[in-house]
Amino acid sequence: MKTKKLAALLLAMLMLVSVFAACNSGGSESSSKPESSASSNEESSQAESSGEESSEGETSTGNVNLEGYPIVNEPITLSMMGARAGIHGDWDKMEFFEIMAEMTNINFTYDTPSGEVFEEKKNLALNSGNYAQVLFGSQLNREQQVKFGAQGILLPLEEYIDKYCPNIQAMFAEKPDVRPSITAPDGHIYSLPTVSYSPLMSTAMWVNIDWLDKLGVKPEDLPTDVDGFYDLMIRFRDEDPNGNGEKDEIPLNVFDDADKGDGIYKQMMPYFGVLHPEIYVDDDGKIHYGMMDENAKVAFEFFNKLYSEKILSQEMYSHAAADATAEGTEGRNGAGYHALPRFIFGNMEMEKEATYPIMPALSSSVNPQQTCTRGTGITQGTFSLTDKCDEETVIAMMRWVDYLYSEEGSWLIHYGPEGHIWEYSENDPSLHKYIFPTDGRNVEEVRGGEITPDCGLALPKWVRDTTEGAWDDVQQQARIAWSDKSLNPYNKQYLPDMFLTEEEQAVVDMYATDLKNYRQENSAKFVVGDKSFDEWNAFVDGMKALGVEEYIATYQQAYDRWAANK
Amino acid sequence: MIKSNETAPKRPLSQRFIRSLKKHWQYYILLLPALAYFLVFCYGPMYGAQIAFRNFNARGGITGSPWVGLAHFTRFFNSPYFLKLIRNTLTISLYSLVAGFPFPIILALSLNELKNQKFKKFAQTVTYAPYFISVVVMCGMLISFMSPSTGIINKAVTSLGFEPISFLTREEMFPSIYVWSGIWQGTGWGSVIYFAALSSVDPQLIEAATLDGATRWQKIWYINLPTLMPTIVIMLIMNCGNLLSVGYEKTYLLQNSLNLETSEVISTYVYKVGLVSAQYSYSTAIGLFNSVVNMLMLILVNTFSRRVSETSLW
Amino acid sequence: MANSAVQAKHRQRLTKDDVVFNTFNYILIFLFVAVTLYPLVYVVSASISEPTKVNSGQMWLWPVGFTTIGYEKVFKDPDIWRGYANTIYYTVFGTIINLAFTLPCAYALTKRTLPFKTLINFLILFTMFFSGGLIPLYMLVNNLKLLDTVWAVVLPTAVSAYNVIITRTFMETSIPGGLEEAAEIDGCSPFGVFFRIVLPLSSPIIAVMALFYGVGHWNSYFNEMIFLSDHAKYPLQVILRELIIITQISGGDGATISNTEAKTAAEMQQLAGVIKYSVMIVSTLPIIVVYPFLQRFFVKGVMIGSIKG
Repeated sequence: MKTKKLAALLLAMLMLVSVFAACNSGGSESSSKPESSASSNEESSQAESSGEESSEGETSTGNVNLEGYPIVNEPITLSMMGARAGIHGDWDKMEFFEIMAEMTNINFTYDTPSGEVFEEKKNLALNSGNYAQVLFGSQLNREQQVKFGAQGILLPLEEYIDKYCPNIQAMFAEKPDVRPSITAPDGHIYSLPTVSYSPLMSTAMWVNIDWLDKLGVKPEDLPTDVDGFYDLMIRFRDEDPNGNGEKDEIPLNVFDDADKGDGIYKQMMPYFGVLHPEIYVDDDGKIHYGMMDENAKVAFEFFNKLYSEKILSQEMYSHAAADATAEGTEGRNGAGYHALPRFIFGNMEMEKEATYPIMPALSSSVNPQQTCTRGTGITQGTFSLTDKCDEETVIAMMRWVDYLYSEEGSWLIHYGPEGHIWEYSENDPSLHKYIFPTDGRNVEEVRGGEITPDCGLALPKWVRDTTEGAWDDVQQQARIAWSDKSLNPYNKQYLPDMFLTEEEQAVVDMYATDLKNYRQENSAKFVVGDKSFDEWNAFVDGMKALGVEEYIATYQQAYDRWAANK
Repeated sequence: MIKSNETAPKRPLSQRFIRSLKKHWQYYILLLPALAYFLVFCYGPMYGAQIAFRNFNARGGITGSPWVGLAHFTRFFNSPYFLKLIRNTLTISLYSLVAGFPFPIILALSLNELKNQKFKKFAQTVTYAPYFISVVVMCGMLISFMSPSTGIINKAVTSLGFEPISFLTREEMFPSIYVWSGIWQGTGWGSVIYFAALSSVDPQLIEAATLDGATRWQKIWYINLPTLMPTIVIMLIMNCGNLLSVGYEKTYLLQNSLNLETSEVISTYVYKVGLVSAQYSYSTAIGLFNSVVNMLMLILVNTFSRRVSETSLW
Repeated sequence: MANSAVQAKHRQRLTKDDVVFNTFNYILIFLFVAVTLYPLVYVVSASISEPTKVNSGQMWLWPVGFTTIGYEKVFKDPDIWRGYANTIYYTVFGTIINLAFTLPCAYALTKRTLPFKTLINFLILFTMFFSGGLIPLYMLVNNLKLLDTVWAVVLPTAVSAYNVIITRTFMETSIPGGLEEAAEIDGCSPFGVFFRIVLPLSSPIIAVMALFYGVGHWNSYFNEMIFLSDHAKYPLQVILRELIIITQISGGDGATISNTEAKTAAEMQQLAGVIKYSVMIVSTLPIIVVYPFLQRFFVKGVMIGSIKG
């Protein structure tokens, strides 16, 4: 009985303690974050008043140099929030920030939620007033820029750009698309982008060089239209290019995890003059919904032919990309769209990989011009300042970030300083080469772990067109050469990066999900032959019933505004 | 409380009430921590649900965003996918309930009859473990088992001389795949509660029945099963309160363009709506609709159960 | 003693009926075991097999192309042991709080004469269906100054309505009402009845609740990711998720990928194939192993013993 009493007492005490502790704990332990934001608040209000009265204080107006370095005479510390990618080490130990601090006298305290929950944490922070002064690598999409900008949480940056940011101005001058693409409908710039117009395509169709050799096709003689492509694929299928005597070849495999077929549609519909299955803009500035085009039907008849003749992987809709790679490892893949041949054909040496050719952009009977598409080169929302910054801080930070848009700065934020992960090549001192770590990690793990957060995370910078070519890397050079020959001359941008107003966004939200679902479901049925092409018109009517016309009109309105700003 | 006070009919109601409270104060102390939790952490944030009736934006916040009434609900009801979503969701969850509910009970009763303690422990642990296979891994396994070219199931099918079946792209098969893989994974875990409930079977009763010459089967049917009955009923009622909740992660991972016709359920739809842009209000409205239906369902089943079996949630 | 005597009697009288029943029962359980054992073996094998062999379907039961790279990667993570420690701390502490809140509440609700009982039941049930969403909860935790403390992990999930109902049902049906009445007549207060009679008799349901809540804490990651910012406080699941996330490098839509980035991505993709299995085993093995130990609380005849005693 005694032990039971004791146990009961213990339990009761525990309950009491836990309730009390719940009430108390806040006071002692969790003070670090809220306090720091509060103090920075205080600081900023102080700074504002002292600035106006121009009385002396810790942060006098004189602290910021408008030219040259350091940017601030007395070191300052600001709060920063950014997404920590999986590969990242701790931001406060990264060399990039140390170098910048040395040069500018600007230091940071970091709040870096894991990339997986960053979206939630960012929203919670911005909605609850618990946010940092600097949002760096904060993935603010256009919609959030519009919302939080209008609310006054994000500061308009355009005036400061015009006054203090020569490198950003130079970028605007050289790349005229950029400024209208980052200007919100209310005329303000709330966030700075990553800009990269590199000749490297993120995705291209790589063709199995061994199979081409076997069939006696030279890489220079790859087809340039869909009919020639089809013939080559038939040969891949029938002539046993992998030489195992079995008809197990998959001429065109699909590496598509959750895209529900869109991976293939996006790459191949441009051959038929349809630049995107959803919204794209044609040369005359007219917005289309790709699947509504007459040529979309031609494209899908072609896809249906590829599928029913077993040129496309028969499991393209259900398997994962890794399964398709495994098929490549077994020597079954003839071609596929991906970043590098090794994804399609399995691991290989770099020298071997450099021999694989890229299938050129193709033309078709309905689209006589060879065509492929590229992205906008702009990644939105990588840098913003919040209303917790005072005037001086804003100027200082704008000068800080402007450096990242210089050629030197863009290199620094991505590759870090010389001697850690890269050095100049002994073959050609104008080229760079990697210093491979000896501790079993790869270059990226070192780069993201110790050097810079610009690894798996988009940060403010302007990648020069020449940056990717400046490497002593046989495979990279081959990749650039192929892209320049087979793809880049035929490249079209399917849609500029453009803002929607809140009202436009609401309209788009209304239709987007249903349209996409309907489109994907029916597309797949046309491809595998579950639906006959007699039903195509009914399918188009179905999209109309789902509001595709208003959807198009809304984008047209946004595009016209974008074009007018240009 | 009224019956117990029949002996003192003259006392005013309020006084009787206070007496009753006084008599029960210790129970309220026992209730206190949990009730405090529910008030602070569940009812405290509940005001957030009103964004279903507003157009939530960061500027206005939860209480200041413009009021739009039932607009989000009508948008959902008018969606061309509405009926399909309800149909698919109900198909999958009813199928799960009907097919899946008995298995944990059978497993628990069956394991309970084992005499060999070591084997019993082993069997119990093995059947319970699949519950811990993460959804991502589970779906990856299912996809690879069912692959028409390399999957183990289709290897068996082709070795028997049949054409391989592309299970995952056949829309009519999706509910079965979803439900049976769920049973496979969840039966052992689900049996834990029944297993615990079986411990309250009176051994003397079993002994007496054995002496009377009852068969094993009769003992299960007349002693073990009735002991489990209240738990079974409660579990059934609560499952009925979950009819519109089919989890999004597994459905989404097994979904592809060719089985969308049957695999698109409310939760995956909400997820996709969120992918376009964070439409807090709209998804909250759909969630609220879900909850209301679930709750009505629960009240209905509970009322029915109270009439029939005297077991009920309140 | 009594039990073994009964069992001895059983053994003597192994009737034909028993034999048939046992055969049938064993077949049934073997089926259950075989069907559930397969995925377990598969996961273990896949965790030490070459990922391409797994993806291509060559690995279907035993390991093919032996490799321990997945485990190496997991255990090379410097945070993993701290993650284990944090998880154990959150699980044990969280479960104690869960039990301390849930058991008394469930017991009080078994009292049929309790004023407002229906209302309270309904209030609790209501929370199973309706919630205010993440933003208000975050604001609440923020205002209570719980962010980044252990309380943010254990308090928002301190009681589950579902578990209260299950516990209540068990207490209502399994604990003989006569026992409580007898105790009350002997002058035992409700506290006394709860601590001296109900709790000792509830060991099966306490074990189940400890399991339900414990597994919940063990597997939980979302609240931890939202309410904790200090990496040193992250539990195992969060650390392991990040490990898996590393392997999902993507260039984003239309972004260009340099060669080293692409190669790392290719390497990571392969690693992802094996690491997801090893991560799963590392993270769930401890909680699976706990189960057999809990089973001994599901003993039969607790009630009877206490009535007699």
